[in-house]
Amino acid sequence: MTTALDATSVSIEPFGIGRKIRRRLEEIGIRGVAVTAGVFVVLSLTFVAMDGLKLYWQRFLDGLANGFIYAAVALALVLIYKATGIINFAQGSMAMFFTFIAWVLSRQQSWPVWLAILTAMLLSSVFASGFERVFIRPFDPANHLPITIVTIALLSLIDGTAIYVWFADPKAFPSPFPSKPRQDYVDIFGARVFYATLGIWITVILMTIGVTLLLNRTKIGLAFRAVSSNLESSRLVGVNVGRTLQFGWALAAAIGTLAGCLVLSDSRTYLEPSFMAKSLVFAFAAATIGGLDSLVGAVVGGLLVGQMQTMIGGYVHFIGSDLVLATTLAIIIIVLLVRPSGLFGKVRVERV
Amino acid sequence: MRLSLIQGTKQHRAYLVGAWAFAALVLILVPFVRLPWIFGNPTGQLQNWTRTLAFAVAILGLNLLIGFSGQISIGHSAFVGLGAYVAVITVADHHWSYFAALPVAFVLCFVVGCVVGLPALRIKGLYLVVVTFAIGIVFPTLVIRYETITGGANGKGVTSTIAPPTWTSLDPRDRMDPLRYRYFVLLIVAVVMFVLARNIIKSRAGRAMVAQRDNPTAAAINGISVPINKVIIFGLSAGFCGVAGWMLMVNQPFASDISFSVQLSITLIIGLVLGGVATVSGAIPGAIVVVVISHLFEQLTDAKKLGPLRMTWLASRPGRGGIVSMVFGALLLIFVFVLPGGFIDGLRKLRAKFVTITTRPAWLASINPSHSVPALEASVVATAASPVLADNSTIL
Amino acid sequence: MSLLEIGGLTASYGPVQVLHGIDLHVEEGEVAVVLGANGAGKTTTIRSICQMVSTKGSITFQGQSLTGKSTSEIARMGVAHVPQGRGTFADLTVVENLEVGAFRRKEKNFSSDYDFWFGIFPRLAERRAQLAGSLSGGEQQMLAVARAMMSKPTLLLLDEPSLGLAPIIVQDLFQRLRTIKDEQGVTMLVVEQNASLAFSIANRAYVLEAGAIALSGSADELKNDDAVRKAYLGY
Ligand SMILES: Nc1ncnc2c1ncn2[C@@H]1O[C@H](COP(=O)(O)OP(=O)(O)O)[C@@H](O)[C@H]1O
Ligand SMILES: [Mg+2]
Repeated sequence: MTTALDATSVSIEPFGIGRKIRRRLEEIGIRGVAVTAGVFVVLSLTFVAMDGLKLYWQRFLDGLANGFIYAAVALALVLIYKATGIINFAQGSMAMFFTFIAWVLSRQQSWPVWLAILTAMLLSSVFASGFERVFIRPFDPANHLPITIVTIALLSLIDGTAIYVWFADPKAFPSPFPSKPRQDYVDIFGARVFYATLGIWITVILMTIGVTLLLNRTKIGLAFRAVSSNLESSRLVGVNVGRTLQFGWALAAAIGTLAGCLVLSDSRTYLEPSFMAKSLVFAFAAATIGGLDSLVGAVVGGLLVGQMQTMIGGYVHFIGSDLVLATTLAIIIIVLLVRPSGLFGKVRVERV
Repeated sequence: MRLSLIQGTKQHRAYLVGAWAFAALVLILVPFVRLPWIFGNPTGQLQNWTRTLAFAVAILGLNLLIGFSGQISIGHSAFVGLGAYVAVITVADHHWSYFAALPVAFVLCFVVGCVVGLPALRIKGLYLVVVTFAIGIVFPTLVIRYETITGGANGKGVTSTIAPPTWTSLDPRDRMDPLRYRYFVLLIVAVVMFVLARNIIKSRAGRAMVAQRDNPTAAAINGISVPINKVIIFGLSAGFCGVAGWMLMVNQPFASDISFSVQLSITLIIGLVLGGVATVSGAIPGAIVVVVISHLFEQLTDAKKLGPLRMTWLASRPGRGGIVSMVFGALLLIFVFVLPGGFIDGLRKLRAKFVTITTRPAWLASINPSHSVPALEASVVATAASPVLADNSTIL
Repeated sequence: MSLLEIGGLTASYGPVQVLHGIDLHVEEGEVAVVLGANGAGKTTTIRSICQMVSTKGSITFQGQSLTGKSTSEIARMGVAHVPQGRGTFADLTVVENLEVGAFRRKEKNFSSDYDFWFGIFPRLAERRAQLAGSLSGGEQQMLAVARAMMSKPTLLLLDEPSLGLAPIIVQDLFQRLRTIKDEQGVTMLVVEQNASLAFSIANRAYVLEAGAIALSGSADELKNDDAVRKAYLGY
């Protein structure tokens, strides 16, 4: 029903200034945007009425930081899903493992933090490329089950290795952002925003811009989008599908590693082999809400889930922070019951 | 020497009966056999066999889902956990009998499974995969949150167990006899679940669902409600896992949050792949392998149970817990590449070296080639295994 | 030596053999058509050339064997394939579809090519920024042809370009294909069920029945063959 309505709205020929934006909005389902925005505003007003504007604003900004991290992880998941149709269950574990590598480089080898993070990202890309080449490519990309099983094997292998090498006790990760005690925040309209938080925003935004440029402005990016759209036709125009997917794996791995390091730049989280689990679930939620195949959706979904987490934890006291994960899950199920393609899932118009 | 059999003939039936009788004998003798020290003390060994039964049922449930929908779930640990907590809570806090808890565990998991699977009515694709993953991770947090009911991280146990009644002439105060009795009780439950699974697969609806997995449009045209079946199958597979959870509690009545983490799901998936994706009987070798490996690892790394190998270097390493995961991951990779059909497929290949079973006389086969009769096991699921790892068109 | 030479080609889907020893050749610069009823194996033949099915027998293109090569390698050698059902990239815009089409070429800027193809297919020009998935069937077919031509192919394979299109649009499409043939001099192998259309551009023709070549010859010969006229032209 909804789908049919949205489908007709797409066929209206857009024109004039901002037609690109309008088309984009129509593609992602203008009703989804409207409903989400409406619900968001109503809830926000309620929350402001409850505890005042100042607290709300603080929580909003806190939620944004979490949201950007979830957005980054969701982006990595969606990249792989879009191109291959599989969920890489090992995404979180890979991120965890290479965050450990960054930790080893910066803490044990005393490298500058950013250099360590960049090196870890690079290494994770190399690892993912190699893994794709050896363990994924032999399978027919259209046969999803064995590939999914391979990612589960990888998850088990990596988790096991990390536990074996680094044990389960938490380790402090050096912050990549200025973090001198009591001078580590700025004031934004009365809310305290830590440099770390600000750093997360900026990093993820830059990264998203970078990924978008890479996908839209380069030949390999075009090939990647082509393979995501139509595998068989990509082969027919001479795209090397294997190598293109390898690029996707490498890119997703790097994004995941960066996200892993960002998760830890919040001084309250520590590095241990399961530290990505929670972020991963929220990222899954974000990707699903975003429609799984939409990069924009992944980012918006991430931000929404970040808000959900903070607001539910902060305002809905009978739920409290322990149940945030479960509540988010319930919300996803409800959202999907109402809007099967996710809030921002692209409504595909296929005329024959 | 090769044995050549034609399906449906007397000789073939004799072969099948023989195979079944052998399997039954093995299952009955298991609690009376003693394996070497490495498999633990006698009670530990028996409890592990019983545990294997529970794992087999859980893997079977997971296999139903994969066989029918071609989708994998990484959250079925939650349903195993739910079944387990139903048993522990009703028996410990409400003084139910274990047997009263069994149907509750099944039904509750079935219902929760259906609710979770409900959006699948409207959504194609990976919805279930994503949601199951979330459920798998959420479940332990719920256990912690509702500590007053579940016992939280300290876990919750029951002191009463299923004791052998007098007519069995088993001694309730013996070290082994009650364990043997529980083994046989759970063996019966497991057999019932396997027969149930086989019947679900062989039923009209079951065949229809396999058809749906391979070609959704065709199934829809044939008037089969694809999504509703999907939801029901998800519920059933959850129900099977619930029963498995109950079985685990009958065996060793203690549950805590970490026993039902995603790690358990991964273990089940490993057993599933090792046994054979989308098969019924594969659940048994799969369960044996994962239980035995976990156990061996415990034996070898527990400082108190070092045994003759004295792997002190390992026992003293704080991260030794990671080794099982590493071994499992490696095994999984090896199997996907070397023996994608799992043990069952391997067994079939091995058997094919000694026994040839001709499906039917050629003239009959040409009349109705799609009607080959499943033999020892009902893996209609496997026969139509196109999205599955290997083309398991032969049947054990 | 012919541009494309196929000898003793057999192809199967799993255990089912669909082609039973096909011999076929296409000379440089000509248009060859393969006629045949539904299920005769036309699509399979054309997919065999691109190694999208498992084949036996010989397939040589410009003297090089294609068997065992990957589909994308073959595409990079200069064989463009417009598959049955068009195979447009629904999530890419019209221009991006053309850009992907030029994937095997080394240049960076294709704007003059875009202009050229938009000249041939003006309907596409109006929709250049639109997602290909939102085009009509006829527009998608045009886009598929233009996309294939963007690779500057030596050999263009077209699989039932008329399928599912209104007659008037089909007429228009073939008109343009003729233009492309005359102006670009590209060699084509066209699979069609619509024989009269096919003969309108063909130099050479093959009739495929149940996975084997039943008749072959120059287009003019076959056009006047009684059996062909009865079975495919309907008079
Ligand atoms: N993917 C496939 N799997 C199995 N059989 C196929 C497949 N595609 C086509 N066939 C069979 O191969 C034969 C030839 O098909 P095709 O080449 O598509 O014919 P045409 O294009 O001439 O209509 C048909 O009998 C068809 O049923
Ligand atoms: Mg065809």
